[in-house]
Amino acid sequence: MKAYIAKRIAYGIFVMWLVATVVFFGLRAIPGDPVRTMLGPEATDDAVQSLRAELGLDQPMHVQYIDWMTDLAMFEFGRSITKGGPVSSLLADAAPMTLSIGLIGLVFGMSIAIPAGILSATRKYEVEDYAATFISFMGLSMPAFFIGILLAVVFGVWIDLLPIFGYVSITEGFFPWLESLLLPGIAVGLPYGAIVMRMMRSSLLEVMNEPYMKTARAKGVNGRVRLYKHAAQNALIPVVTIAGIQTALLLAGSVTVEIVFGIQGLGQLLVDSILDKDYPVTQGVILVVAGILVFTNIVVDLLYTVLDPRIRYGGEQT
Amino acid sequence: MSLLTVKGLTTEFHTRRGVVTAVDDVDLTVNRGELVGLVGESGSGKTVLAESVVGLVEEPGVVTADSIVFDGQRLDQLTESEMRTLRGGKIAMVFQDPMTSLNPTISTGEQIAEAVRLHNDTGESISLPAELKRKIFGAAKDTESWRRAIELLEEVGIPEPSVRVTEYPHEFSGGMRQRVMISMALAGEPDLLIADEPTTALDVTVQAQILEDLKSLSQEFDTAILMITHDLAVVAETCDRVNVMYAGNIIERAPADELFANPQHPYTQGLLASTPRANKRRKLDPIPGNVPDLTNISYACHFAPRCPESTAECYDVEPEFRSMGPDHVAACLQRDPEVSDRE
Repeated sequence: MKAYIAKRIAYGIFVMWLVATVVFFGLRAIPGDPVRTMLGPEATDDAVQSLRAELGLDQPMHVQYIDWMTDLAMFEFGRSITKGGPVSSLLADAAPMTLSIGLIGLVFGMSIAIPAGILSATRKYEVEDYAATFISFMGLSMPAFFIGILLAVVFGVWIDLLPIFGYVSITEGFFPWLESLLLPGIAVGLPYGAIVMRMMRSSLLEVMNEPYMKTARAKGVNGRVRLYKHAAQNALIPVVTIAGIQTALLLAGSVTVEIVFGIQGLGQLLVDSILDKDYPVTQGVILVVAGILVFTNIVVDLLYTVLDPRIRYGGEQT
Repeated sequence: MSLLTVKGLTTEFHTRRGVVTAVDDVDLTVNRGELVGLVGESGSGKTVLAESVVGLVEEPGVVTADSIVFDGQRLDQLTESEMRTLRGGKIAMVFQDPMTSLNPTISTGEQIAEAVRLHNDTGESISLPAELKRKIFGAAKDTESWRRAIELLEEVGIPEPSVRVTEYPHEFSGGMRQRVMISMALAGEPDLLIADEPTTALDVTVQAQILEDLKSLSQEFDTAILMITHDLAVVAETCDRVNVMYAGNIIERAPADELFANPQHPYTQGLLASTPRANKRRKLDPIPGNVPDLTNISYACHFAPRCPESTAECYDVEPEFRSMGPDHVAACLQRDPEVSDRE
């Protein structure tokens, strides 16, 4: 198992390198010049040249690439072109907000989706199923930022229950933090939960038809024990796969939702940096997001070993 | 003495295409300790019949019966929860495919121990929280049910039962899994074991062992076995009496030896003629046609369209059982009943 985890981490680093390389060259292929954007159209050629030299942008492409890779190997993301400070501190400020939104979205989505999926499957074609299906299709068909706007209008303006602007760090207390992020969290969690719920429903319905469920009935096991002891774990295996893959949806959702709720998270940082041609910041944000996804994938693969006794990694003798 | 007596059992499935009568007004008797065969092609309704008896038929299936009496108890009048205490207890089942009939996420020991707890007074809780605790944290090893699970595994001939008891189904071979299924069925010391194609999914060598095991366990526990199979060799190997089923009806019943020596119903004769035998190299003679679609059959004898001997009468007149010899009846209009009318 340890060997397997080590292998996965090595593979993850390889993926990160690929992402870094693609982003590096991809960004530079986009037309436009960061220095001119920064200095404005009035700037003299001299000023442009000197700033370019200062930022290292006058170097040939491969030298810039090697420099950046060397920095990355030491967990240095370089300095922001437009904002001045080191990219790592910008990321350190922004990442907790986005991660918090994603985490609240994940917890919210899961805690709605799993029970709703179970209810929907056990009450197939009854009122509960139709209600859950209706709500999940609403969640699927509305983008997260739109749900965010609706939530802000209803719970922020009409009912005035929750703040609709800004972020409170968790260091200032759990509840203020939760309060500031509940609406954006729900906004990203709803589409996520909708997908997970559909998966839970179909997966459970499939498991209910498995021969071993009939065995349980023939053994005299009652309905609730059959559902929670015999079916649930088997049904969760494909759900975990989907939930892991859809973590990307949570992050993508929070990019736009942050803007709705005026939170200076990774999404805001990414959009700003692309508009400003602030290469190091864009690269940094994308690498952080890629890192989160790589990490999630490893966690999901390890969860399989917990959920499915048939899966053991690393050639362990079973 | 009869253990199970089924009278007039009909099972219908209400589908969009119409009503499928999978079992059509069938009588069945199993005596205490007896091995009874229920033979027929796929789709003849033999599995549905067995599942109807123990209340395993699910929506959209509807079971009606004049009476189902098991050990003096009217099964057709029991509630679902009363039925549940019988299922896996006094009436146990073994299914066809041991690969998919065991839960892949529960250790075999726990799957057997659960059946033990449900049908024996072990003093262990069988509430949902207690069962979930066992599921999540593993079964307690110092309990009566766990010890019994090990004994049962030993009983069905699994080597090193105290090691294998903690293993999961995927760590067992097909034959071993079927033994696990059988040990689970024995947990409640059943009076009746319904074995639904117990050897169909297994290798031939393993088949013979499993059949031997079932026979000797039946004797040891004085358990009657209802052996559902499409394989006449299995019947010849194990059963005392045989019921032949075709398209929802039982069309012939006889002691096993008598049936093989002297089949009467044209379907039984066809079935025997289409079975290969190693010692007689002869051309196989399959029954022409296929099992009919059971939706809204309008003719009296369901076998008539495929029957080489059928006449116009066969389509109109419901064939009643006619006595063909001691303990031997066949439902065919083309057979003259024996003079000494027994049934």
